Amino acid sequence: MTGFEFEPLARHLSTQEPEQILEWVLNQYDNLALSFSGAEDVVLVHMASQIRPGVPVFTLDTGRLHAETYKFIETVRETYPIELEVLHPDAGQLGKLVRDKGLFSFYRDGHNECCGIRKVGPLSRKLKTLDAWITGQRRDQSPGTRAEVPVVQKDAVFSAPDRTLVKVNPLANWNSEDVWAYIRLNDVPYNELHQRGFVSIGCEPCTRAVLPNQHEREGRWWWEDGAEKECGLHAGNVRKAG
Amino acid sequence: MLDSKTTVLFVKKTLPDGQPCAKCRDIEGRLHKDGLMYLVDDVVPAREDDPSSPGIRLAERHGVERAPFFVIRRGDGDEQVIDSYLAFKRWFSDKGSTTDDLTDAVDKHPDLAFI
Repeated sequence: MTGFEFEPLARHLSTQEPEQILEWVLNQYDNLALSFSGAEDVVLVHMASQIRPGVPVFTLDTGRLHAETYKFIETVRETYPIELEVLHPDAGQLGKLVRDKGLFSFYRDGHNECCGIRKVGPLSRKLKTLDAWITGQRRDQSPGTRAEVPVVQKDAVFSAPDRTLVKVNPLANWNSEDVWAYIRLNDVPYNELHQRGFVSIGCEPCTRAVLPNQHEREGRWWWEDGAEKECGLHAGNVRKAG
Repeated sequence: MLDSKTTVLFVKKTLPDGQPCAKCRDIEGRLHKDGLMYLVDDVVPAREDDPSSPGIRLAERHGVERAPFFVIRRGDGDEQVIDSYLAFKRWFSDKGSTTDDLTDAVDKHPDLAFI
C-alpha cells in the first residue's frame, strides 16, 4: 500500500519540478527503479543518481536497438553511480515469433506483437517486483491522444489485486525544449543519434529521423495507419440516436 | 478471488448491424479460451447507434474511450474499470502473460511501446 493520501499528493506534486518529484519518490520508496530508454530520459538518471547514488535503473534490450544506443547505455553506466539492469525478452516467446513470422513481422502485422514480446513482457516481469517505478514520459510526446500523463499515478496496467504499483513521471510537465536546455546546461551525455535528426528513439527498424517541425512520433512506425477506430467509444464515432 | 457481492461486467461495443466490434470478438474469444468467462456476471452492450445504451453510459461515466472494457462493481457500489485484458487477467491470477496478452496491452496502451 502507498501509506499516504494519494490524490492530494498527486495534485501537489503536479506543480513541482522534476528534481523535487524525484526527491519525493526516492525518499518514499526503497523498492523502486527508474526506467531508462537510452534517449532523452538520461536527464532522470542524471538527477536521480545525485539524489540517491546507487539508484536502481533498468533498460529494455529488445535486441533491435541501434549500435549508437547500446554505446550510449554503456556511457551512462560508466558515467553515473547507478545499478543498471539490462532486461531481455522471453526467449521462448521471441523464438516463436521469429520462427512463425520472421524478423520483420512488424512491417506487415503492425508493431504491437513485437513490442509486446520485446518490451512489455520483460517490463511486466520487472514491475512485478517493484513498489514504484519512474519513467521519462512527457505530455508533449503524445499530443494526438487524450490520455493524460500525470506526474504520479497508480499504475492501472501493472498493479496487482493485492499490491498498488506507483508510476511516477517527473518530466510530465516538461517539453522537449526544457529537456534539451537541461542537457546543455548540465553537460549531460546524450545519444549521438539525436545529432542526426532522431528525436524519439526506439528500435532500429522502427525509428527514423524526422524533419524540422515534424512531431517526434512521426519517426516511429511511420508505415502504420494509426486510424483504427472501430473499437472507439468517444463521441466522434458514436452515432446519435434517431 | 471474488466475494459474492462483487459483480464483473464485460462491456462490448456492437456495430449498427448488431455484430460486436473486432476487438470485442477477439477478447470474448480469449475469455472463453482461457476459461475466464465464468468470472463475467453480465455482458453489457455499448451500441454504436444508441448513446443511451448501458455500455455507452458506463463508458461515459468512467471516461473510457475504447471497447471492450471490464467494470468490477463491489457490494458497496464502488466501481473499478479495467481496460485491458492483460490487466483483467492480472486481477484474477498471477499467471505468466501470453503473447496475445502482451500484444493486447500495447494495443490498449500505445505509450508502452515508447518505454
